[in-house]
Amino acid sequence: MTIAGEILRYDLDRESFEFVDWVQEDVDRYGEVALRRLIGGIGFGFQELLDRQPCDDPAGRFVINTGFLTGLPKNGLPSGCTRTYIEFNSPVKEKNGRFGVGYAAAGGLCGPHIKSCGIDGVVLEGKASEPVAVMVDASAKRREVELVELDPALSTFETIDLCFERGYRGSVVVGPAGFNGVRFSSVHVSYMPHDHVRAAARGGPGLVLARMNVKAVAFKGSQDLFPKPKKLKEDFSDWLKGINRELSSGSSTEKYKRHGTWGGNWAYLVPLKALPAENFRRFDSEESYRLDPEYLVSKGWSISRKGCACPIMCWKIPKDPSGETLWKMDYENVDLLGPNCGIYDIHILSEAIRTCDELGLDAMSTGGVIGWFFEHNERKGTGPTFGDGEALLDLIRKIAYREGEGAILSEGVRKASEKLGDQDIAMQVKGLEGAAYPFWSNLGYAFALRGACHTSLGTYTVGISNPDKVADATWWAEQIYKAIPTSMICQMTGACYFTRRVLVPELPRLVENLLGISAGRDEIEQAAYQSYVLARMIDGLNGFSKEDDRLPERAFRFSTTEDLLSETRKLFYEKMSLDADGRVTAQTLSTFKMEELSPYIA
Amino acid sequence: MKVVFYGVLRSLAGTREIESNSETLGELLDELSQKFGEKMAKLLRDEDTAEGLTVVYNERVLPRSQRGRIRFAKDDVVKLLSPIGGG
Repeated sequence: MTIAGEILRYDLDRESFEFVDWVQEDVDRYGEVALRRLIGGIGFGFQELLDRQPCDDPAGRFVINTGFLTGLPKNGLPSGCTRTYIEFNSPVKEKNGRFGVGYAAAGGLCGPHIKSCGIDGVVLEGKASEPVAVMVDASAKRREVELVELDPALSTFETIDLCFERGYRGSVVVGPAGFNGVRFSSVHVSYMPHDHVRAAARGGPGLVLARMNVKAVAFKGSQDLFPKPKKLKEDFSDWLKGINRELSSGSSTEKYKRHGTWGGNWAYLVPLKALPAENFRRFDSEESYRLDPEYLVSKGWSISRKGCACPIMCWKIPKDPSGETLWKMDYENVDLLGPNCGIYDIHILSEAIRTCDELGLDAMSTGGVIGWFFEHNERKGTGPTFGDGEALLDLIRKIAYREGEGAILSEGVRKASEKLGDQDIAMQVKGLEGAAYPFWSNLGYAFALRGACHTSLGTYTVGISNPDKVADATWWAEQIYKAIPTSMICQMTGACYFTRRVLVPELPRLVENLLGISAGRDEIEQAAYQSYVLARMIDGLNGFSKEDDRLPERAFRFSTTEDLLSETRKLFYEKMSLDADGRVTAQTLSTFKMEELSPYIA
Repeated sequence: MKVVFYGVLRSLAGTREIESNSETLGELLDELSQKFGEKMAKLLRDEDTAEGLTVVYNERVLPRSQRGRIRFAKDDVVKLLSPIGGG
């Protein structure tokens, strides 16, 4: 199997660890191991959190894991599959002192290094006495784990470089923002030293890990320990070569290769007047062309491509006509720290994104909260407002170090607006600041697993491209229900989200050959639905219900109304066999064939 | 009729816009597929609700249900876009 079947459980209170056969554990506990657990990612990780619910302190358990496809082509796996997943109770998703479920994910090279330690992941428990790195060394005959004290003030870049210098090429690290208590602080995942890191940013994993006094979790593996495919059919390797060719040069990934998410979305959302600007109050900014890669190239810029050991190479790195190379540009960060804050100077934007990465902030949430703050200041008539680049950079540092107004903003837009007012323009769902797509065209945000997140429920463009359907609750409920399997499976397998059009239809063959299990498309879809149900179970145990499946006031425009959302909610709950409050019941577990978890909702 | 390409479609076409005499959307997509090759053809024929081709006809997004009914006139402008997600 391309999973190890082992997990490292580390108890930080006792400084003790064991490598556990989790497959056998599941068999002993439930009679069998569920397909969702074998596929991995959130399908594995959410279940690890179940027996800690309800949760009044997220800093108790933290899961870092992989999927069955996580690895490299040299491991006999498809290209574009390097994902590391993080599961935790999310500090931003708070309700009455309890915390709903969260996850984050990133490419990079950490995931393959985790598996080359002969494990599928790590489950951390408790709290270390000092800020430490948990160093997992599987390069010698006997696997060792040691704690090494680290300075919590080190930047994410410095921490990753330090791990590299000691031979630990895979690492998950926290920046100073996490140790300073920023609610939406990220963790960063290693790629190469002195180079662009990858952020697993959403929902505040950096704060959780920092509260457990863990600055880094680092991996030094051995290729001999990387799990091997279980049962390969003769023609599988040739077939896989065809899949890799499609990923590297086929039409399904062409847009990511050529334009990345930044150029691709600019070329889609700007002509449709759907690019969020000024805290989501405008979608037709006249200045957006200044950040259009096509415009920049026409002015003598060049834009190079790079990727996470992946042929799609979606990273876009601009170089200005003087030869200065800027930071890596992804759409969400460019829009939310850019037009959403009224900023159109790409040099300022590059510095803003780089600073978020360096200090360990979720750049999307940072853009969301500063955009809101600029509009709040405009309303009250004092303080920096839209377009103030100097204030943007200053506020990012103040948030990371919780200085001045940064202390309030570091709590996220929901908490900040509860304290300062203007909650009507706080663009968040369940405490998570919105992704850079219009809220009015995406009712799915109300039901997305993480909050106002586009990848945890992929309905973010359907409203824009289907204008004749957007007032129809039945259509919306169907779109949201239909989006769940692909959205969830992309957070499970280890494959990059951008491979989904190629790899998701091929999962039965991949599961059969790499896990040695015969599972049809329906069974794989069911495993994905189960992961969504698990998340709602955890949220339900923490008091989340119907009233939290909502949208911010500013979302209600054009055909999007409270009544439409209310009707969609009712129909979606029916489709999912949830009760009228949106909670998981015995009926839900029966519908999705996960009755073994019924003791948790009893 | 003027046909304007955006994003990956513009890259594959190698031009910002062209003139076409096609009378229906089906004819237009056939014409463009023949002219610009297989990758363009696949993107133009992508019917996925979320990620398939978006057609803007005289400044309004053309619903999928109406795509078969449109008859183009000489001064019409058709914009072709391909959604992208993530980032």
